[in-house]
Amino acid sequence: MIKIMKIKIAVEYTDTPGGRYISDGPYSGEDFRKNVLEIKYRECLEKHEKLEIDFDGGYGYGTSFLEEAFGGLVREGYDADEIIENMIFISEEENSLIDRVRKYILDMKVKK
Amino acid sequence: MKNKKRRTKYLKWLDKRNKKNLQKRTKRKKKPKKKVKCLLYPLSMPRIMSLTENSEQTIDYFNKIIATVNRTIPKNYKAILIDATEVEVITIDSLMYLLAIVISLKNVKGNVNEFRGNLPKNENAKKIFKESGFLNFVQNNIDISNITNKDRLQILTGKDVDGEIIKKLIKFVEEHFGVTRVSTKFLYHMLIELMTNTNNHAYENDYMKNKWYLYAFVNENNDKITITFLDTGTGIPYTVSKKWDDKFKEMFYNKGESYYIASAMDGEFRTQTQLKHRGKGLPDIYAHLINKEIVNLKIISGKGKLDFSNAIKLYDACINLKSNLQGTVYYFELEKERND
Repeated sequence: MIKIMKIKIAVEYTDTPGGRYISDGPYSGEDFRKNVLEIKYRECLEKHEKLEIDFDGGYGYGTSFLEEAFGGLVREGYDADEIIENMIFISEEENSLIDRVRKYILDMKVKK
Repeated sequence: MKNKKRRTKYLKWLDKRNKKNLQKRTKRKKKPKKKVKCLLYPLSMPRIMSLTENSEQTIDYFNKIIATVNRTIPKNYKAILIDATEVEVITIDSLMYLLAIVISLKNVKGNVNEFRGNLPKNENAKKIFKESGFLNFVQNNIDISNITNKDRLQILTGKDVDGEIIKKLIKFVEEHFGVTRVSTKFLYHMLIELMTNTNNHAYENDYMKNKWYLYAFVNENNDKITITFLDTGTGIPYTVSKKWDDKFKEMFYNKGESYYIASAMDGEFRTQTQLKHRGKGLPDIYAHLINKEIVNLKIISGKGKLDFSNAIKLYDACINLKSNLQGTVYYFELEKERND
């Protein structure tokens, strides 16, 4: 049975995610990726575990935040297909969010 | 001997008295200070001060202020007088822009170092000045202690992308519409993107540093909230045209700057420059308009204006302006029935 590592963004990071870059202000997509997402994802890859990202509980996510956090992972060198395979996304409050995140990841794959 | 001592004492006293009298006679009298009038360089506001409803005249007025600040006016003028006496209608977008100019003044070298202002004679217009929060930012001796703020979120400003400010606005909407956090997520998306644009895409213009301004107001029936957002960057048309390749420039060159804004909302120009991961903010705003989550959207930037109050299709909303606005104003409304 595959183990799952979990991140609930609204609880473990912030319920008011910010902009794209660290220079934009607090709780940016870049900050989330560098200091939370990438660290946990690498750990999951090493341990052959899946990473569950729960987007519920917050006030919302800007496009720039999501794109920089997840699309940015591909730009940092991680394989897009592997990300899609190893990450489980949960968003019961916002139906379209999961599709958007997947699109940002796969758009970067196409670009590469 | 005794007489000699008395004489010495007398001579000393006489000398002291003579010196005192001499001082009194020769003391310079201070001239009374002449009261110098602080001359004010008057700039009278138009009767209708509104970027959304009277764009050309209002933009012209702001450009006149900026031009006055930037050039050397006669030295006997110590301040610019923003004369609002004859204003009958004023909207928040204009107050926000005026605030942006006043706040930015210290960035400009010139001999004008302050603004003065007066309130309109018209009571409704005066009320808007007082209740908007504009006067909190400017030096004034007007009593605003009795202003109640339950029906509005007074003007807020900042430079960073600030989720906590948006949370404040969300709570304002939740309180007045009785809706939940989940149903207002689209609003959070929009405003975060607008703030992000202020930092990322809105290049600094010559006069004003990049800042955003935000205001919200609920109507008497509690069924409509109007939101105004201003950023003081260079503006969408300039930002967009910098990223275009020649083919795209040719396509839109003669159509006017309103088409530049429309193309940014369409997301077209980004695919031309292969920056697919950027520039999703304006298309998302357009998507919220199409989904009727927001209504009556108006955007003014550079010499372009998009007014969706009577237009459905994107390019039907385009209006080209003669005057250039530095920065971008967004105005839109939330309707309770659509947001339940």
